[in-house]
Amino acid sequence: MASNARSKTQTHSMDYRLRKAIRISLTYVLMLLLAVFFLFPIVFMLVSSVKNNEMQVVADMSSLKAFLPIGDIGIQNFRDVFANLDFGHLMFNSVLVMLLTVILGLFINSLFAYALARLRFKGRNLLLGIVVALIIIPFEAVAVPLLLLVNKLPWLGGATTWLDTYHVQIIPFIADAFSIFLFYQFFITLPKDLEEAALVDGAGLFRIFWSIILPLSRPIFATVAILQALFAWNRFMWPLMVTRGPEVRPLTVGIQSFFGQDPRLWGDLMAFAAMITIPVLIVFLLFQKWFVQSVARTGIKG
Amino acid sequence: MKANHRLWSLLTILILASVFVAACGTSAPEATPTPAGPVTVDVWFHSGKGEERDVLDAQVTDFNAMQNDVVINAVLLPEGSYNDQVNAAALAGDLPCLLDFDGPYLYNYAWAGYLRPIDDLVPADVKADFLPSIIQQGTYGGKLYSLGTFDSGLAIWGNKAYLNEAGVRIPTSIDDPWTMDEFMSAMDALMALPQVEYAIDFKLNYGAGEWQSYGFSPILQSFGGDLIDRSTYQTADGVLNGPESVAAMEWFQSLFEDGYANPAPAGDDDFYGSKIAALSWVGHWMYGPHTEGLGDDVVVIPMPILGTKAVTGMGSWNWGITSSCPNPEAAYKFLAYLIEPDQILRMTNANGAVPARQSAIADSELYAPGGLLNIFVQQLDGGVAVPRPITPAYPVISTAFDEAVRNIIAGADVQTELDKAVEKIDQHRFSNRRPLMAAGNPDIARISSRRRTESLMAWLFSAPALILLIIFLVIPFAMAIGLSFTNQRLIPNPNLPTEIIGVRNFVRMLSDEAFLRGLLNNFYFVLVVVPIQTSLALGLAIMINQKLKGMNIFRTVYFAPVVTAMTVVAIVWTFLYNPGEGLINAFLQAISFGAIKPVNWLQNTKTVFPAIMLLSIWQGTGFQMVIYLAGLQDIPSDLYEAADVDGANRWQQFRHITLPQLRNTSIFVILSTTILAFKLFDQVQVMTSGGPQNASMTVMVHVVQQGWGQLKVGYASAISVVFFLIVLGVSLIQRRILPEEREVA
Repeated sequence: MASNARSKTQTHSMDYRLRKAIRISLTYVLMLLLAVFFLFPIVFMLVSSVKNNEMQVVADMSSLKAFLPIGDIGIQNFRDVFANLDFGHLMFNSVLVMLLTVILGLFINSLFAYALARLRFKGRNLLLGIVVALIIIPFEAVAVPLLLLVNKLPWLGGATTWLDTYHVQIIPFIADAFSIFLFYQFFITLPKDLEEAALVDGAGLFRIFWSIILPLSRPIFATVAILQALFAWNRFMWPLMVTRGPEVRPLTVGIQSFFGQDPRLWGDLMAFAAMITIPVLIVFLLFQKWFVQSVARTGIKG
Repeated sequence: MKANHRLWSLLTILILASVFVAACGTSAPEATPTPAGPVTVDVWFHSGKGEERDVLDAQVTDFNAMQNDVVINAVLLPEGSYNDQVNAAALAGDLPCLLDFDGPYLYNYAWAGYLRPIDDLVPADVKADFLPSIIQQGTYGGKLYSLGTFDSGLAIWGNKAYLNEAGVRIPTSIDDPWTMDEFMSAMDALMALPQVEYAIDFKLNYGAGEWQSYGFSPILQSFGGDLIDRSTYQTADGVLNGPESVAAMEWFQSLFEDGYANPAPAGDDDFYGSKIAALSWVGHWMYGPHTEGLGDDVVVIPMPILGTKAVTGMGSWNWGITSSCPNPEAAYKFLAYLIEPDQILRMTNANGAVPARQSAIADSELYAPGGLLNIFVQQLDGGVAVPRPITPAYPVISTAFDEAVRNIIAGADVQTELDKAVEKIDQHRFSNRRPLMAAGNPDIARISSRRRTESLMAWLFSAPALILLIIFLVIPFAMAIGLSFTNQRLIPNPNLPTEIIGVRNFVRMLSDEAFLRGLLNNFYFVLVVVPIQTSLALGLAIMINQKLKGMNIFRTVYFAPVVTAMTVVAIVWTFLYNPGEGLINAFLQAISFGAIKPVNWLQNTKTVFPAIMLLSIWQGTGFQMVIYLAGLQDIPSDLYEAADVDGANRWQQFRHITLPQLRNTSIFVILSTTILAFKLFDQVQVMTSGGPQNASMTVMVHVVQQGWGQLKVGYASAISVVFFLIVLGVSLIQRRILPEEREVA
């Protein structure tokens, strides 16, 4: 029976297989072309960064040579960057600000979202409405009043301003309406049974949050952490306005001071850009599967 | 209904908060006690050229080592946003004692009261030793505010071999410059040489910015025109668009039309590298590349008499002492060190600029009489140099003229362009106003005591995030609403009170070309980028979701732009979009076999915004793709299996299963992309600042420019508020059009 059926449909299945092969090849061609589109600026940046000769970087720009590590290859541009500024310290600043913003943010935003999603109290709907409305306020719109504000805020040890510190780059960004909204959307989809059982056992609300909600919510925590880390890592205008010296300044401002220099040394700039980008790319490569899964399991997709 | 309810509640809160904030008074700044022992002086300087930085670093170190009274604490700031940062610091009362700034800003800073006069600190004999041009540019309202250690100038650099071959006379001092006829016949003779493609290079590769004003306003002045009426400094009408200026710019335009000069040079080195240009109209700062490229063949020719006289630009970075500095004497001690002839030479030997003092010039190999660059000294000393207009409006004038010149070079009508520039300059009025803003401590909604622990716990859980949101988002936004009804300026001026001006800011928006253009661009961006990005992301997600080999790699590749910082993206793409030798131009030329001519992407009003859109799509698509991918993986596979059995083809499956199942995902993607699109700022700010001619302006860039750049906080706030309402409206409409169906089967 089986072999009969196969021989009957052989022509059809050959045809089908051929069509499938063509379809798959076309898919790969299309995906490759798109991959070229998405990758060429990054490859170009990485390749240019290892070309020691500045003239060559510019000269190669108008041909395929821009993508080939040819000619005088080395780490001179990277050396230049290190010679010009304390790259390690800028990196430290960026990482510190990012980590503290993300960690503190995860904690307080999820706590707020949990209250909004699960607890009954007066004003809950109003708060939720405000959070949604706050998402659309662009940061640039409040930057001037915010600067006036942080300039006058006190800090431990008698300081009367927040300017030129780490915390001025961290505290205003810890609470984030968008993160709260994402947490909220996730929490409302969680089953309530476990919490109710725990409540019957006499567990406090904070313990329920800590030992039941948190373990169930790893995906959304991962998603929000990645988003907030990207935002923090890329933040530019605010640190530009509130930091003066290299002591607390992040990488994005550091590269801008490089970009504004005359003559503009493209090789050095590309080396700097590569050094900002590579760590994030590596982190993403390590965690990407996890990231997609976490997005897949969170409310972020609607 | 629900949305309406939320909106009204929100507005009520914001209005209450703004009333609360307005009710708070300003707290007086505390007096700083004078410290004993060595005085620390904070110094800011711009991160310009590498050599300048190195010398200044060394000077700071040496100065700190050679004496014990003053400790210099020097801070380097990025040049691109230097002025914005100075304004921000002035606002915060956080200016250093000593800072450097580009010449034209002196008038702004002195006028705004940031700087103190230094006449009492500088000895008369030292002052007399400076080039007159330095004193001229440091003086505002009859007082000396700043001193520079070097000056600048323009000249025509020539290729001696070409000039000799063409039989052209080479002037050697400012007493015998070329006349117009001589200049034109020299260029004709040079054009006749086979090696010469262009008689002269005007350094148009510098792009938009100060170069146009610095480099080409001397042409106006040589013809008898100018940027502004210098008898009153109130208007440019009849001067910048007068017959002399029009004649000057028409002559300038003809040089490009007649092929003497290249309107879009491929790079910097037409004169000294490829040597296809015989002359170069540029400043002293090209000494290094020119001598490196041409060796002994390089000559410096004084500015020609195009109309009635020869004219060059002048001016450079200056040092000034701030009015808030508690120890101006200590600050001057360092400045006095910097302007010692030896130190001036140390700097100018490194950066090649004109030494600021006669006694330093005498010891400079290049600039002393007989030196290659002595022409520049002669011009600065001999009255050929004309300072930039001494008015706080200079940045406005410069921007307007910059645009006009670039349009004229591109072939626009001269009279029309200059009229437009005049209109922009004259429109700009300065109003000295005082800010009212006071940062009050936020009052947190009182927690009413309730028995029920759940409610108490809810508020406890909410409090940290809520408090931070109120302090750092709601209150600043409420302040913005309050400010939008005033004519508040960023920098305090105690003499004039801030006035409540009602809705005047809102009325003004209706005729604000840049705002309207920005709004239009934002909608344009949303209408183009959101559909393209969303469908591209969906397409990518569907392809990646197939169970084929290597999908992980493609996923990583498509996502890579997302993890690249926007500042980095903007820099890399600026390089790619480079007008002459840029990769994108080269690519288009290659695939069209030369039919597509190189485009100056970021300087052309037609291409700049699409160029920014392309980069934004490139950067953002990967993120939406991951969200779609997540959505796709949630679709139960038995739906497709059932469809297979029913004989549905792929398109039918996509149309009837995939799309409906992704409905909620799509809503999320479209809403969030729309909001992000309206917030468009970073890439525009880094790449074009909204130019040329506002072609890439967005509302947020305009807000930042009005607020930070032009100090009009009240007006900037009004724009922010209106914009918030527009985006809120669009989001609500979108939600209505795309009703969410939570319970899809």
